[in-house]
Amino acid sequence: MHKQLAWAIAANHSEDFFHCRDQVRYLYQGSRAVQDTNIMHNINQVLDTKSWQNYIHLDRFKANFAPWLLQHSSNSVIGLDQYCVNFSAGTTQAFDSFYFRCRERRFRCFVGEYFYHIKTWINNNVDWSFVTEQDPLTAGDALVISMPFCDTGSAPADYQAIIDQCTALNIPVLVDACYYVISGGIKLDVSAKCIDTVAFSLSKAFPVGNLRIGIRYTRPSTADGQSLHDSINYNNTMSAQIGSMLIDTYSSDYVYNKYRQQQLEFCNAVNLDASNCVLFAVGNDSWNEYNRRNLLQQYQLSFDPNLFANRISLTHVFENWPLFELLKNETTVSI
Amino acid sequence: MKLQLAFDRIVDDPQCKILINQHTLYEGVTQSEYTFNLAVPVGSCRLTIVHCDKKPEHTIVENGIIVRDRSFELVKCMIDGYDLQELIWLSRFVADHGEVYNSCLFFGPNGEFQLDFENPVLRWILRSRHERDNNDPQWEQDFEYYQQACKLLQLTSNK
Repeated sequence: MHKQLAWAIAANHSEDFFHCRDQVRYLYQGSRAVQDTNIMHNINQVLDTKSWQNYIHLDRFKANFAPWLLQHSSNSVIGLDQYCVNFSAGTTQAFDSFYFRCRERRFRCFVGEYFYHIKTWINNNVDWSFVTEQDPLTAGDALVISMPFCDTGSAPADYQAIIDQCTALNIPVLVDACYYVISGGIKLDVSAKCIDTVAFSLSKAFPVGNLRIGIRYTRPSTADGQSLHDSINYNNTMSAQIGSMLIDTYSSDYVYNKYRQQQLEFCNAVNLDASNCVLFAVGNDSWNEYNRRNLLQQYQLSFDPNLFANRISLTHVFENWPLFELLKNETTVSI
Repeated sequence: MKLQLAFDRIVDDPQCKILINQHTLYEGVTQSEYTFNLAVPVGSCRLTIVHCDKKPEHTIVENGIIVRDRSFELVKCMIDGYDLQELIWLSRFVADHGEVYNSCLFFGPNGEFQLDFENPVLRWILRSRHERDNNDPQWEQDFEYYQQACKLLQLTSNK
């Protein structure tokens, strides 16, 4: 049924067979936020106020972000009070800052981690490698780990053991929590001394990816270009204003609560394992055509796609839910 | 079926006749573009474009060289929104004098251009390309999914 739904979604956007086929190939991939028309309307209303130049938006956004996170009904985050907060151009600026501050170390991540890290390290001749049984974490490393994990959209079972190991080996860790606010059932403890950076973003929850609205938490001793810019308000006030509106208007579990039942229903219908991240599910081998092959090609990376989970994006499904319901009820569509 | 044709290098008002199967769609001086909407049964079809009424005086020869010649050229053929692109070369031109020119889009002598295809054309396009290039083993399955998707969307628009 998922394939028929993909074709129906594609054909709903274009009558051309070849355009449809291209869209179908990518339809269950990526990590784009749902294009919620109500949210888009609210964003446009903010822009109409023409008050985006005020620096206060930056302060408000930073001050209100942690309380907003903590109101999530099924997630919890512990230890954020130990950190200083900076505005961040998405999580990406926090990544780049971490890379620079840890430039003397060997960068590490687990197989399935966000390709941006790997591509950046490879292109810049940075020393890096995947963490494996044969090549475990060692002193002198710097670790990037996503929580929930990028490859599956769920919490890695051994997250705390990894963090404990990093503490023991004095390995600085960046926790990429960009999926936190689209997830449920996540217990994120960032109180361990080894954790250098915790990065959040609004790009996955709301259709604002191009506005680069993020927050970085670092230890009080951190002094880098990002903290310098933050200290003089040299950041994107328009993004901060929209970010403030979003966290004022929508709770941090809004997206999770809105789509969780749909995620479970779709997963049940097409035999997928629902992730903690409401936008994702994981498919077995029958979903191999939606593996990371296309994304690897896009990033020009030559890893075997079978190394990665078949992480299925449900964004298009949610955006076209009436089509799914129709298809579900039309057990056979006669030609 | 929606048939769109485009001609170029039209010299000296050549006469043509355009047919799908035995049904004449146009007859007269060749124009640069045509669009026809017509009902065509599912199955084998033939597009025929006849070049006619060309007389010897329509070819001007000086010192053994043709300096002007009534003629035209087919440059685009779209059926149901799909540009046939390279598949147009599956055609042939049967001249009145008996010669048959495969893959000829130039209408010089009197005669008829013939392209055999199938309705629905999309299925024919996909099958023809796969038969030639052997690079689209999923074409039939994809076509069925597409057909069903269109059917489903039709249901939604009817509700």
